[in-house]
Amino acid sequence: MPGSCPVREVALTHPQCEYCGRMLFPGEPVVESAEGSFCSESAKGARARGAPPEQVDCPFNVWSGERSIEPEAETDPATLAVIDGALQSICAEMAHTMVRTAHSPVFFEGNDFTVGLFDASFERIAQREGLPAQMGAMQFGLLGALRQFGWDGVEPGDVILYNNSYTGTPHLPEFCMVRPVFVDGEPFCACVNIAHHTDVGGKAAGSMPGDSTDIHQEGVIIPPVKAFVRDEPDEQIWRIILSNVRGPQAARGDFMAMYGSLATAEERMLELVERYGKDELRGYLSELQNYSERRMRSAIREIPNGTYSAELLADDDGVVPDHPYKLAIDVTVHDEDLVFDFWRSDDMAKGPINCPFGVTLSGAANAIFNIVDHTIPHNQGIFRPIHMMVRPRSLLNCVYPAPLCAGNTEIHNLLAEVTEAALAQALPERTVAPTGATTTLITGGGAHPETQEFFTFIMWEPTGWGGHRQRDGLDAIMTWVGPLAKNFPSEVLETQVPWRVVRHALRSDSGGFGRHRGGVGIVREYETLSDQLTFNATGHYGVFAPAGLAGGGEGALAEYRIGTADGELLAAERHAGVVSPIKFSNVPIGLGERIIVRTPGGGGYGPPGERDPERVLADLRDGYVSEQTAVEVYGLDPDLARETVEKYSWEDRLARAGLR
Amino acid sequence: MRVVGIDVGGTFTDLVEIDDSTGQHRYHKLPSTPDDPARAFLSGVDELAAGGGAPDRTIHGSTVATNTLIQRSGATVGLLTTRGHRDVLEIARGVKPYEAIFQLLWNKPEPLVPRHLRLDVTERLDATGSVVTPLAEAEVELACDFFEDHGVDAVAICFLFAYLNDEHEQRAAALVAERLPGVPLSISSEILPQWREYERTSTTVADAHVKPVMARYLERLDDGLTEQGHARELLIMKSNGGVTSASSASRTPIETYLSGPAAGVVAGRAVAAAAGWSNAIVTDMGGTSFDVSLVSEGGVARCTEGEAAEGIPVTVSMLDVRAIGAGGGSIAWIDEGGGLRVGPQSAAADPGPACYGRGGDLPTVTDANLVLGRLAAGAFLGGRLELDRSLAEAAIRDHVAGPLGLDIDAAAQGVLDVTVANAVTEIRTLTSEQGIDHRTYALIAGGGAGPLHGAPIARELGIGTVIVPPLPGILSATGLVLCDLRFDSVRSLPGTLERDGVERIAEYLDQMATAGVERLRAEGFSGEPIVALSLDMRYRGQNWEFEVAVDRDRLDPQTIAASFDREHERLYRFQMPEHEHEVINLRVTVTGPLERGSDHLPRRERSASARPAGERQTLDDTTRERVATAVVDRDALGSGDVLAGPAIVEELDTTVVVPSGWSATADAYGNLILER
Repeated sequence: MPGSCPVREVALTHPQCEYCGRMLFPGEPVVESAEGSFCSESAKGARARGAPPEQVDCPFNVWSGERSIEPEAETDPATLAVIDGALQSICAEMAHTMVRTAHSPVFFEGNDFTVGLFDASFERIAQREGLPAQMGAMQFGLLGALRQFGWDGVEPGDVILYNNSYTGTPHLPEFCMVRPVFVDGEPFCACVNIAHHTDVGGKAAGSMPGDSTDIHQEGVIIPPVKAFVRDEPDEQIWRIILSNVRGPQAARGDFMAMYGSLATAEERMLELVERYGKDELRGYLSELQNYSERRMRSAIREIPNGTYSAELLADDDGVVPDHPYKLAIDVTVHDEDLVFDFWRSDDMAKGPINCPFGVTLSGAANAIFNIVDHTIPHNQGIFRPIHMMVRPRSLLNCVYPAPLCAGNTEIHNLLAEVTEAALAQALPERTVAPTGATTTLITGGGAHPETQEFFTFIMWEPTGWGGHRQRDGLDAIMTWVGPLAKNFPSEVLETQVPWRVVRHALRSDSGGFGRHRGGVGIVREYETLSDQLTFNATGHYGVFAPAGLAGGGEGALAEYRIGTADGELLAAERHAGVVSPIKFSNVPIGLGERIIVRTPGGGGYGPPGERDPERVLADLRDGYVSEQTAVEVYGLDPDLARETVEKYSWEDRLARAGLR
Repeated sequence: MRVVGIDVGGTFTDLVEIDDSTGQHRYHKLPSTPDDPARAFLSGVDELAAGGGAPDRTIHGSTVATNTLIQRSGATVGLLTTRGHRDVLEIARGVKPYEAIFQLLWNKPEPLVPRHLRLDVTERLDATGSVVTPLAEAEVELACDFFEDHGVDAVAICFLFAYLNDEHEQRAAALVAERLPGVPLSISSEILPQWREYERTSTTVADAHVKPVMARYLERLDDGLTEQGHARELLIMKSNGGVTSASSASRTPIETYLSGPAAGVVAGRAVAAAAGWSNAIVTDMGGTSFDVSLVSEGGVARCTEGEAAEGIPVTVSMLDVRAIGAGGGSIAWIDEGGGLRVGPQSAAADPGPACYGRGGDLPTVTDANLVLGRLAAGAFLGGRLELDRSLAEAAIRDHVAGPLGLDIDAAAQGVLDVTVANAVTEIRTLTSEQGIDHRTYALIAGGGAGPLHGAPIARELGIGTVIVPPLPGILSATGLVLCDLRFDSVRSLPGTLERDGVERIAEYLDQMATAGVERLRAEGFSGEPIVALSLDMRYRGQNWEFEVAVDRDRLDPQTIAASFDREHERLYRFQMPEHEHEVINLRVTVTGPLERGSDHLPRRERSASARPAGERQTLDDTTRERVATAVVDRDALGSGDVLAGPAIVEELDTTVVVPSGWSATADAYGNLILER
């Protein structure tokens, strides 16, 4: 009706089960009560806390259901392998198109996207993670898109785009693009892509303000819209989106990369339908999920039954000074089912560390997927034995207008850590000591002094991992959220941003001491060549260090510093309004000043006194530990230590020659 | 003129000789000597020469560079870097490989140069290549002393932005050469003048690591050939599909790391061309691995990024050859979800497949082929190895049929189907990245185990033609005799067509072409060189470029931009012609065709000594039923002979399976053409 304002169409929230917190699917049978809506599984008490999960008959089979997962008699194992291979190739080709055509480093160096294929009832057929952080959100991403239109409201060639995180995406920079695929006029499957864009507007360049207090400061919110109608771009929608991001030209290229990947996937899926026929193919797609589920259930059977609990403190939220947040998990292993119960975790935060449900699922799933056989295909089957319980309207299951940009990038890592810590009690051989689990993200931008063009950057760095019973932690590897996210070559950085990388090195002594030491982090220092640069930080482990295990020492803290004529300063010492050492936004950097990023080390395993002296000597030779540490912590003979340094240390040699 | 190709592999050293004057070929196979590969090389040449005389030209596919890097058994390398950046080699890109992103207990490979041998020296260029801080020469000299104290026997130099300005690297190199005479040097601006410091450093360091080993090896070959009186021309195969002189290979040995597989692709291309195909998927399936590459419109798909060994990425011009662990020795197993899997574990040569009777009791692809009658117990490796069918059956029964509740034939066929599925997945990944429709391609089935599975692989891919070359088991050695001299050069010249035009591009391309031709002349080449020009391009703002061939006579911005747009659309389903077109690298390939007879391929003809045709029961791949199958000696087939499937063709080191619904035709070269 002309003149009426369809406010109810602005759906910033999404119905969820009041008991387990999961987003409810369109058409899913729910039980309504005075307390709200409950999913069938919860309504039957299948996930009563502390009780074993029950199998529940649910037509959506989202996490479980009463059904046989044994192979059908007519299933040919070789055909299954062929189809599985074909699906993997399709996902690989989608990823290839993304990387090869993207305009932003966040795609092509960061691999910061996940692609997947889903059947017409939203079940995951196949998925390829560029960034594990997105894997749990993929199904909700699709759900959020099709919830708006329904299968009846879309046609072949329509492409839905949106970024509203309360209805499906992990955070605003991550757009979800969906391409529904039809066979003989019937819905057959959907191709889905979630990808992190460099900028989506909001108060800080790079759209990752470490101190936002509501979602609107983090960027523009695009509800599900048809960005392409029958493969023709809707120019009005593109004008709106591209007017709201810094760097529209590159953004357009990145959106086209997503579009290209989905168009490719549809073509390949239709080839498969042609090869096998839609009904036979559908049967195999369902059997593939059962196959994954069987393998996952068999893997869970190897974990002793019981409830394992762990807690972890998140530094702060960038807004409330000196206020940590608690993440708590109770993992119940019951035969071949897992309950990840996060109920005891804190309420929503004022600052941007809140997580939508999908982000929480990704974090916990990342940990368990790293512990079970990594070759189990990541389709719906591997998720089915995992039962999440995440309190609605809490830190880990937030609602509008909670700020959340750093939930996906930082709390994800802590969720994986706390889940691993709980499982470590059952599986000490398959886990490691706490890791310096942060991306140490910096974003920012400014006007280029020569071209006056606006530039934006987003960068992460690798970190030190925890020591293991048998060996040292990994040195300088990206944390849980993005183990494929490459760091940035200094040569590329200096070509694109007006600064000079004066130091890019391993961070000596940062690994927690121990029989098996924690991995070391890195340090990178940028000298600015512009007086118009600001930067933002969303990191972690800047307040509470990664702990050691079994007598091992803590890893070093993450640090952001500003190098000035007065020495190294914290952002808070430089800029009024900054309350956290590790999360802030829009801190200006003067010409010739330096941004210094130090990533944390991993926790050590076992008492340092038990470390093999040969390993101590080797660490000293290569400078992973200092002379002082070797002597005072590890008890190396001081003369031997001195001799080793004189023989092997280049810095020492330069100093003795009077050259530096 | 007698040309000998020698491919030294892990298990066998293969030799192929082609005589120009007669068009005749001979071949020879002997066990490799991994402790000293030169020994098998020299004995092989001797043994082959005993039957016909010394070769005029010897072309060698060597695994020395690869093996040295895999075993890390080369030089102790010292690395000089820009001050503040000594850890670039170890921090690398800070990531896990894709296969490991869900493996918490993955181990990070050690850097090729330990930290105490990575020395940073004061010097700095900016992002335009201008000097910010001059080179501190005293620090370089001190570094030389430090290297000497630590027994460094090769030095690598990689400074930031040296791809824009090599002044500091060259000066440092001169100082090292002066201070450490005789120590081999690898310099990043010479090896790989391209941005991204980690990849450049890794490639430069890998080159330095291999350099002294390669120099000694080639010297030993040269001396050995001279002693044996075979001293003529020794050429070395490079990863780019061309050959070069031994001295040039000693200078930049990293260019040879994919030597053997590259030769296989060259042979595959020639086989396809002879059979009238310009589009082909070249496969080579041996005992442990399955290699695949693509020939499109007569050209081989190329790439520049590879991994020479775990944790040692190298960026060099190379043919794009992918490998997976799928071969005759690959082991079949059942996973915890009841899924049938094959490989990547291999029974290798020892203990080998169960049917070898050497103590292996796990079922392999070879066992499955034996059980189904596709391999004959007495005909394996020309009868040199007797296979035990009952052991194969027991292995399949105990480890596959039993757990899956299948009969033995179905289980064995399942093992082969999964093997085929693995191969198909690998092929599809490659073809989809290249944006091609593989259904219009022929499949070349090379390698000892390739012709057993060529038809089923083709069937799964919707391919109608399989070509089995005359000597499938020694495809790489065959390729060696077909290679030409080839030099690839690359130079970064970032700019856009719209802003910068093509003037400098033309100027640089001409310089590079001239330099390439000079290198050819320096190697004694007197014929007509072939020069090919291309540009690595992208839309401005993109990161990945792809190669666009250009014509020197039509070097204008509109033509180039239009070619790029078309190719982008083909590869990725969209184009953005309104964006600026950016040129990143200029590439020039100069080829010097080597003189050889008109007939490029070893021919194969009907032989009087062929065994008479027989018959045995096999399980047919098409009908999945046991049928009486004709068994024919390959030597009994002459040009134009046609066999209808189901049939088996046996020869020295391979067996060709022709399922029902397929026919096999012998062509004039001795290729067997399988068609549906």
